[in-house]
Amino acid sequence: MNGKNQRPNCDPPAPQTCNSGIPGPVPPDPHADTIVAVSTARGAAMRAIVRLSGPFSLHVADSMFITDSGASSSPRSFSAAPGLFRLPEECLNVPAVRYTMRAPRSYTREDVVEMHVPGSPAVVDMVLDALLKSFPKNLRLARPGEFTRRAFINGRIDLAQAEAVMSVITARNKAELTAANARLAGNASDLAKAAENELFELLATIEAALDFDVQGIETMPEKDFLNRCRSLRERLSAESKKSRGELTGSDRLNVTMCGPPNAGKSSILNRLSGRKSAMVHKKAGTTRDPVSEYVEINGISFAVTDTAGVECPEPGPASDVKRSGGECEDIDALAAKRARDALESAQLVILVFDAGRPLPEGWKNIVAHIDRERTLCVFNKIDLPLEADPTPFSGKVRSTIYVSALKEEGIVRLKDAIERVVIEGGLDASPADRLFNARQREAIRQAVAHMKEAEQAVAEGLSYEFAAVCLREASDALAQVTGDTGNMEILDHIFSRFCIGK
Amino acid sequence: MIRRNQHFDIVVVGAGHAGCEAALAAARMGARTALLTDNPDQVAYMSCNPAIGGLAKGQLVREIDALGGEMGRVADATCIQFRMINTGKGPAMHSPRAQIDKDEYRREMKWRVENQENLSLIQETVEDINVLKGRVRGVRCRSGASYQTGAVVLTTGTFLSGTLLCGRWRAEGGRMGEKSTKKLSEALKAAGITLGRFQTNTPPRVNGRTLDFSRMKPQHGDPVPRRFSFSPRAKAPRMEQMPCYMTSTGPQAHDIIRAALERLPASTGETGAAAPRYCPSIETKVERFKDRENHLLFIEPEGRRTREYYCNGLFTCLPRDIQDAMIRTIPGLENAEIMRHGYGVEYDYVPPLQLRPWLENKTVGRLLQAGQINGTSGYEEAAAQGIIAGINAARLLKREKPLVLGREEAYIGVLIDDLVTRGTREPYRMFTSLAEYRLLLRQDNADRRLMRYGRENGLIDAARWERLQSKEKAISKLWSFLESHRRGGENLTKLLRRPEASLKDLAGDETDLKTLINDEEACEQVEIEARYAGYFERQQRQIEKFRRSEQKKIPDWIDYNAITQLRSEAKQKLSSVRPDSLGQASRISGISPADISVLMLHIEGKRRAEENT
Repeated sequence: MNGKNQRPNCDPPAPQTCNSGIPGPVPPDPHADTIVAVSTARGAAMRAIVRLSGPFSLHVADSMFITDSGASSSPRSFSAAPGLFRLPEECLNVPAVRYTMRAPRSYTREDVVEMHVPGSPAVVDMVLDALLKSFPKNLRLARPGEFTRRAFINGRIDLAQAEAVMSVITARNKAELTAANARLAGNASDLAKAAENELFELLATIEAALDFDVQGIETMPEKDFLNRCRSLRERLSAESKKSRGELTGSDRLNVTMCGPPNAGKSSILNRLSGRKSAMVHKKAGTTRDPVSEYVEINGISFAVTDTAGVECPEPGPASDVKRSGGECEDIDALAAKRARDALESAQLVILVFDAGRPLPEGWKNIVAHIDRERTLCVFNKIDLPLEADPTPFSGKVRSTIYVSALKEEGIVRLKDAIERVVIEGGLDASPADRLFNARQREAIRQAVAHMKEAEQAVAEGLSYEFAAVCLREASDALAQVTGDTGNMEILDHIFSRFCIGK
Repeated sequence: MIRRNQHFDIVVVGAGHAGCEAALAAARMGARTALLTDNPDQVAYMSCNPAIGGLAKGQLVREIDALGGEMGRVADATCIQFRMINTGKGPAMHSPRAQIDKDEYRREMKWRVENQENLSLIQETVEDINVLKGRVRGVRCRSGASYQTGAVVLTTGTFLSGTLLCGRWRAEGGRMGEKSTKKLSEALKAAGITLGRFQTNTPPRVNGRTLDFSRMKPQHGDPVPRRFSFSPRAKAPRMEQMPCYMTSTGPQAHDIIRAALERLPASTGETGAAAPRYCPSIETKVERFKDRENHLLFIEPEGRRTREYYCNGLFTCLPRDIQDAMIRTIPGLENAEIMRHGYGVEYDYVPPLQLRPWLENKTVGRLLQAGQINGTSGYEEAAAQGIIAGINAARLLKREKPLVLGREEAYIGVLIDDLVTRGTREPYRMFTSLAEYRLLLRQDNADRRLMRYGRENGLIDAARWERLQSKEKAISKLWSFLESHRRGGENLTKLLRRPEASLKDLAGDETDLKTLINDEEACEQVEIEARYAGYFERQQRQIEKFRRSEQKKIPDWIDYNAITQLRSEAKQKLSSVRPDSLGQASRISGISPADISVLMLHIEGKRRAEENT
């Protein structure tokens, strides 16, 4: 009898061990929201991935997606099913493949569903729209870096790994990929942790000497302290230098600004540095020689070079090149050459144009020579009516930012864009086997500086409690590499700078 | 006649170092207070070492005094040796420490308690607490009397189910020769409070008549003794000063100890009562540091009118015959007669995660606790909690916001925050390394940091307050003078920064400055602040960062068990501590930055959800 009643197509859903996966009218936890984002690069492609993560994602997928086989979602931890994605408003079904990764065996350790849909921007927008409109209460667009943030929060990866994920995505050559993979495997964390432990021991030794001195415990001789601290400091800075590769030969990342005369490059430099070292004037051509300025942008050190503006950076007819290159007498030609050199050698190029006048003809063709990954385009003077046409640069530069150096508008956006290039690995383009990314190197640089201060305090004859203050700061800085820190600001800071979808 | 059902605003149980401070503070704040003790002869009795202060502890005493506590003043009055220790280090490490005439100390404290208006010292042994609707309403005593009250401060010391240990001998008691109480332990458990067990050891005390002081190295106090108290009325010590003596154990003593290890109390391991690691018994030291041939001992006088000496460093619960044999191998103690043998004591404490930051029990409202019952050790730690518990008992009754000192403003803040946030696995002792901002939490500026709290609560009289005001005035006058005057092209502040520079030298014959440097304490402040300005500014920046995370409050409604992303360990720890801020949450042991991140997300998400509706 029982056998007869069993209808293969109407199996009750298999009992599920993970309650967050049960699709039902009531979401398991109304506060644990489910996020969605497109996790592939924008633009036409073979296919795009729309990714959901959170307790509600299975429910959402089940109601928006019809599998070819007609079966509901599989109880297995990983499953793939071809089918149709319903777009109720358009009365349209889009062919798609659904990948289901159940908690905790997913990237975020939450229930994750990926919809692989045709990679047309219009389709992707419709899919995203349909999802958000159908579940306005339980589904929301992911914030930047939120998938990775959740992976980190749920203990799937540590902080160094979370950042390495970014580098894997943006890695453009094999050497870089290897370095990024080493980071993902935890090498950077291991190194930083080992150093952290050693530092902690040193700190513990002097703390013990401070707190137990009266009980007859010998104080660590100053010479020993200095030796140990110096040796650890030197090893650390060697590691971080090694990982810096041949990037700059200096401690700072190289940023060059170029553009036509009187676009306001110097004003922007002054805004970035918060100083007034570059001379500015409403008259064009105020800057003749490149001006370099050390600037700290969102905690990362840069050397920003301001070049003289040139109307036409392009080498003109062959004869022109010969003349200017050979004699070096024509100042404008020389400036143009410098600008071209900068375009080739700088780690990050910021093109600056006057938004208030049309793009100079000579600059329109520059797009053929620029490296998208390490170029930002800035339109200054947005306080004036917009005359410049940004289209020649759309898609050819990493991002386009509109600012007004005069009114101090958009400078924060520019700073963030610069930092983002660094954090997302845009500058780490040299093939050295780099273990640490820029933020980690910055943390190590700080740790090294604090250790130096500790040595200084002891060398000046101050007792250990002063060195301890510095060593504690060094230890906090190192902890930022691995994320093993109570410092909460840094977490927010890092995660807000991941690109959406991963 | 048994007086039944008396009523007091506040009842303090136990008249030790915590109990006395609590009772005095509460009474001075206008609460009718009863101080109940098993034995009124033992008020503020120094059960262990005859000393007050020392590293980090001296800072605590100065802070207690700045808040209007009694310990510093009583110590000043009864001190028989005063030393400012660690003067070779920076000012943050300078700590006052005094040998105390312990009989004089308890007499002096008892006298002050007796003379305090609003305060009744009564002989009672409390055996039960009366809890109604989550609040304590009174206490019941062995005598049959009961006391109705608005708040209770429990300061039971080692008397809560105390057990004395010496070799294989064990007996009930809170101190040698004094009864302990088991019934109060039962009552606390019945009220839903969890108890733990700690152990601590005392050393033998010897008769000075039988010591050969010529074989030991004397250690004298400072030629000019300073004082603990900021009070302008506090006087230089009235008692004649006495030296301590240094000697050490040798291989012979260690052999005797090693041979007797199996005769240690069996309980130590079995019951798992944790003993302090920083104050190890001599048998532990011999075991752990096998290659050390000797351990330093200080032979400290217990008072002027007694020949008794305390053998600091010889903490033990070895059997008595072993103590006798061992002590006679020590130089200077060859013929020593032990008057009191060393012994251990095991006692119940309330693991302090059960407390709110103002020392009120989370399970039983209006029940405050201070001292060893919270898992601490030391007179200074006890007194520090005592005054805070007393102040807060009174404030709670007046429906005022309780006083909670921050980690960045006082050692007392560090102490209590550590207890209620991290808990403790061994008797907690104050160390300077526990204070992140110790360069600023100095003994020399405790008045400038904390006296305003004492004043606000009516514990600082006009004279002391005036003294602080005039000191502050002198300090700011000095600063503005230094900043506005130059000499040889250099700013005076800069000149003062030089090592070995002092205001006195700087003043020379300059009459303007000479009149300003009359206030020695003000000069000291200016000199210290000038010399270490760079480091102080650095700590100040750290403090600002710390305050920002302390200000990220965790709302009351939060239900940790409902946050699915939290690990179960984190859920459990956060639910039990219920931190006030994300900063406090991040200090809970076992809470990772990821947990904090989850919390942040959750709170932020809820806030946004509310904004949107």
